[in-house]
Amino acid sequence: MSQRNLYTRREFLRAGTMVAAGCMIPRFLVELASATASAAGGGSAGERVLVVVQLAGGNDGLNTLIPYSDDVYYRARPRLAIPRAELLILDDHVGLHPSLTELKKLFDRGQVVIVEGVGYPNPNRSHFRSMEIWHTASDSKTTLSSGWIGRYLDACAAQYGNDPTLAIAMTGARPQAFYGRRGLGVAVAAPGRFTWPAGPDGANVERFRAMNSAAKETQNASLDFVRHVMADAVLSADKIQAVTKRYKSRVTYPNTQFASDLRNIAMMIAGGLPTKMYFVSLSGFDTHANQLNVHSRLLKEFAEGIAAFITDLEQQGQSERMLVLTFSEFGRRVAENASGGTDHGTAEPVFIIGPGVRAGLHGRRPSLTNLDNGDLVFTTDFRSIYATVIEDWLGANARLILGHDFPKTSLVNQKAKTA
Amino acid sequence: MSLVAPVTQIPSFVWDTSKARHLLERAGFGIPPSAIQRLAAMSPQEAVESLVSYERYPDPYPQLQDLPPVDDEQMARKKLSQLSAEERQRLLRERRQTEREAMVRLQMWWLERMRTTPRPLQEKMTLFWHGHFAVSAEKVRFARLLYDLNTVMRRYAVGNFGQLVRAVGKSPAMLAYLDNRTSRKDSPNENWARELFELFTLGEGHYTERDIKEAARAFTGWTSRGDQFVFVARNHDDGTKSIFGRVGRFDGDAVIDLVLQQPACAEFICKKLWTFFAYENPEEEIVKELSKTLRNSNYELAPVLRQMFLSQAFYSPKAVASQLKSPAQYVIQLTGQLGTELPPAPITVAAMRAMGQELFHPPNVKGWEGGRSWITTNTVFVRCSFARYLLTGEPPQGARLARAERIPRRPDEAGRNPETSTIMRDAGVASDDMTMSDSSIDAFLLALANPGLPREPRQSVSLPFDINKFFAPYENWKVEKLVSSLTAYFLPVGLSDNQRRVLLDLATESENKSGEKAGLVRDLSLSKRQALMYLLLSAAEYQLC
Repeated sequence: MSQRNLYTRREFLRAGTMVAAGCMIPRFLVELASATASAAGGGSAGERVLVVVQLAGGNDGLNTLIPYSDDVYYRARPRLAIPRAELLILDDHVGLHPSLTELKKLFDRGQVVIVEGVGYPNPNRSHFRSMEIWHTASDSKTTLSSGWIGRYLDACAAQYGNDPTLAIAMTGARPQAFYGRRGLGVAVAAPGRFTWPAGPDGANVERFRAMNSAAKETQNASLDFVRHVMADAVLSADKIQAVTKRYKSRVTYPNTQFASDLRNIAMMIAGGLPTKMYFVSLSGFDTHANQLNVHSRLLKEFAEGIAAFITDLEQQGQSERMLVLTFSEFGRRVAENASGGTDHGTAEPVFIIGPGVRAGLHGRRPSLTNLDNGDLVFTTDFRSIYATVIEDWLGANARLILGHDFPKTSLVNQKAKTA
Repeated sequence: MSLVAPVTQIPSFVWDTSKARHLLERAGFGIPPSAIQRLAAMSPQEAVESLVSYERYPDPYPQLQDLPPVDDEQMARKKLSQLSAEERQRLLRERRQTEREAMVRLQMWWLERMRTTPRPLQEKMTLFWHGHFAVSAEKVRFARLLYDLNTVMRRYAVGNFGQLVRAVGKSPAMLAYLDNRTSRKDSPNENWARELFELFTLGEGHYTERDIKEAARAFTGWTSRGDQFVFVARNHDDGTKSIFGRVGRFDGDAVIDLVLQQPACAEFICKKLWTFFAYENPEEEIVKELSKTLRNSNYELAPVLRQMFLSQAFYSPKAVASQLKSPAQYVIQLTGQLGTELPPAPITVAAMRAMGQELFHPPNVKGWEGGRSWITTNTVFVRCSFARYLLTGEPPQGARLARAERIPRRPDEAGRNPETSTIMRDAGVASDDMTMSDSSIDAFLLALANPGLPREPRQSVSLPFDINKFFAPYENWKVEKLVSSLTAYFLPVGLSDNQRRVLLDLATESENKSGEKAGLVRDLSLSKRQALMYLLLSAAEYQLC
């Protein structure tokens, strides 16, 4: 019996205890579990990866997934509505924006779930607050400091250890979703060049480590913080440098920052980093004015980047391990404004992409007439999607991470679903 | 004793160089280092006065000249429509290029001003307002408009907050950034009204969605033409509005009056000021006392700043050496302490961007998050690279490999450099909301690898910093003494014995000419000096102020 099996048997024996699968493994087994996890191939929960894509600024959902059968849409948006003839039709009622051709191809191949009308009660229309709500998975009346990914990593630390590279964000700073008790997860904007720049004549990384040892706490919390970041940076840099050298890809990615971030994620996934969560952000969706061209370009950048990424992972034989989840802090107002744009709104469609999905349109379509202050009323709580992904894809206990039970949706297909 | 009690009333309070250093680092940029001694020799009140009442010192810094003018949009459109498609393309391309170069000049102009000003608090407060009333060049692409807004912030830096809000609201840069420019009564744009309440004056929870919608109506008609504010009456909704429970035919100025009457406003500003200058999450008592001062002075800022810089909490252990330097602070203080010039524009701008604070490019309307967000696994490496460049002139390893195809040619023999603006163009990739892109770090590495100058071909590209000159007064010192002295000069807190040992081991592992272990500073080779300084500046302690 391999060590991997030993671990799953332990896990099985503990299954009755209402904790995230494998989250309460004793420390001495942990090392075995995480050591084997990266060596074993296949698609079991231990090797699963979630790639979270943030569409920052508030994506206009109604011009992304377009309810073309509803005249209200065309009346509310005399300048912005996309003509029916240009749409990529999905069913008798909705079609995708013409810039999403690449996404439509994936949809046709059974790799895309679109959940319509995703939001939360008492929606907040501030970018910052609503983004915080999505990152922390709180309700709109509660402020949490920890993020849902951070809490997932905390809950699973016993299984995966205290490795800072368990979550990697392709951003300048750690997203709030990563915040957690253990402070796991790092921001790595440029993996190829992510390393401490050694100095001349003995100013080497060992001395840098010795100068900045985080082993002992001081009276100065800021100092401790910087030292921890430095330690994480140096530790992660070693691991990331090791995997970047192995990666070879035949896929040509579009020449955009978003695609380049996804390429780096593909490199790290293929290189076998133990990372469970990747985070990438595409921004510019705050289209208050002259929205048509900007939004079209952004959707194209999004779809083409994702398509190249999926193709790359397929060629690497890694796509089965991976699921993409997109979100934006909110959708936008149903009616357009005077500036040829749209103001902050509420519910939005969410995309879940990968071979493991039960493809198609999910969720109840929000009404364009039964509005709350000119905004859509949500039909699926975003935390239901988190809960589903956490349990059915990552095999962890959602209640432990989200604090409440949220009804799951069946967006992961039977084959990929964790037991 | 109250937390904001003046230190002059605290018998046990001792005004010394470490307190003076703290004041200079927070109310300014910690430079010139010699000013610490001068401030320490004054009384605390005199020291604070010399920073706050800066009007008495003349401001010799030149205005920024020759920024491209901002045409009236209608005129410009008309002019363009008379051209052929080809000419139009060329004109627009030239225009974009001119604006990009102007934007770089604007950034360097301000950084240089921060470095050399006799009024450090004026620049520090301008930087505060720059992050508070955030406007990004990613959207507002006219350097002229951004410069004008910067000038407004500098004018009211420690002046009247009410006047400042009004002037910002009417600045063409803000009118464009938050779309009020195109807001009309038939369908008002809420962007400015929302951020005015949420981010600029009151904070969340002190207004309703309805207040925003009504206020947006009041601001309709506020627009701009070229670089001037204009009020267009026919676009203005002069009907009755209900805002904060008050009903009237309010216009934009009336809404700002209403905002200033909200108790939340003074508290919001004072909390943010304390967070910026002292520490995060100030005690309620502090916010209450400061906002009382702000309201009593009818929103004059100088009295609040005086009170803050003289309060005992400002000098408490919770405040001293507890802040993470912002990139602006880091770059200004580091070059100031080394006594070296700012690196050439491409390097400086790219470095600031990779550190997460490119001036005039805040990530979003909330400005820079500040605090701990400055220090990330990315930015610690970038900061170290920047310090290493200043000390050794060395670009980071791999810089040449990074997108080699983009590396521009070196200047030709005549000193002309037809290609160099490419650096800035490559670096001109949008920096976006809440992220700092891969390309920003690439651009920084590239700029380090190719410090050729686009604008001033005559400026030499020599070693940025003359370390031997810096060490000259200490050649006969023992290495131990040098290490202690450098530590005290650069770091706001001391080092542990272990850390000192690391530095001493590094310094003394080489041998002098007679084969003995290096004991005196003069025994240290150039590379050893660079290594020692580099390791010291790579210390976590150097990120604090």
